[in-house]
Amino acid sequence: MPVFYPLFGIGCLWLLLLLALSAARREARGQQIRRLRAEASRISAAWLRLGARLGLLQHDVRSSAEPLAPGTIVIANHPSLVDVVFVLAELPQLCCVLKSDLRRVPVLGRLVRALNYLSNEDPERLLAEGEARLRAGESLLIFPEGTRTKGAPALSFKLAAIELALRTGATVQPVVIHYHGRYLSGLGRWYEMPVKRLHYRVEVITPVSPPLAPTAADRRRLRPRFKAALERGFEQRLNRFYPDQARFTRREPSSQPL
Amino acid sequence: MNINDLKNLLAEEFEVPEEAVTVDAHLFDDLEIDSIDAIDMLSRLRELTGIEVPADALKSLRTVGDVLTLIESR
Repeated sequence: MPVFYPLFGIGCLWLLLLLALSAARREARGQQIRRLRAEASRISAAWLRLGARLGLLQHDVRSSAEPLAPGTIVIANHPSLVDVVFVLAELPQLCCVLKSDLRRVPVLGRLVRALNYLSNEDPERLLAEGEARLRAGESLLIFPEGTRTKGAPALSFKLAAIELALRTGATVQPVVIHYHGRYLSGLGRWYEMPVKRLHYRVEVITPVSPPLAPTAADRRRLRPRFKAALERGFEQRLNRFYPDQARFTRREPSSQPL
Repeated sequence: MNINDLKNLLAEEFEVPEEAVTVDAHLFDDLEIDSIDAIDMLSRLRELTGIEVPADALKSLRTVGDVLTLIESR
């Protein structure tokens, strides 16, 4: 029985309990969201410590970045199911942009709403809402691949994070996650047990400022360049640590769905 | 809305040369309309024609013909 799922469940139940307590105390919504997000970050860190103590997981973090400025866009690559845990443990108070299906999972969906996370279901709404949140000083976490990296790792970012950075001038904070296991990667089955300890390396690297793009026409012109620059930044990092194991090549954009 | 209206819209909004807009033209490969442009395009179409486009319709749009079919089906 994989031990990660029950632990994850316990974390969710703990958050639900806090939510109920907060509702009973009639806490203001803003305060409730901050408290729940702080707790999500603490649970993530605790989960990683426990995983390490049980010998299931080893992770090291390299961070060259300052604490996040308000209204930052954090982007991370997505090699496995639990990547969000590493990011939240490292950077608290983030508003995650999640796949829309997660909202429909019974307990998780309730939590996602309570934490005031954003959904990628309606792209037009995501852009409008994301822009408003950034301008109000909230920082967003986006996995710009839109889904887990599948098979031979090749990064191709969707444009929402890029457009939001160009619209608002928000700083982009890349978080590079090195993980080469099969477990939790989307390649194996979710109930498959890892054969050895999972090893993660997480790098919070130097933030990137988007180019100035005051008009829609500027943004059109700059989107592909800024996207390529960010992808290249990730690929260089990913190749640096594993020069032999993984060669990252850019997927050709031709005939991809939009 | 026919292909000529769409040509005008694409030319005005995205500087797409009118002669490039054919039914078979691929939005991204041929016209350099990316996913953000596609969102803007659908929002303009909504203003112009009043059609409501579901959010997931974007994913199935590949060509100019697909856009015209989408408009007709509404």
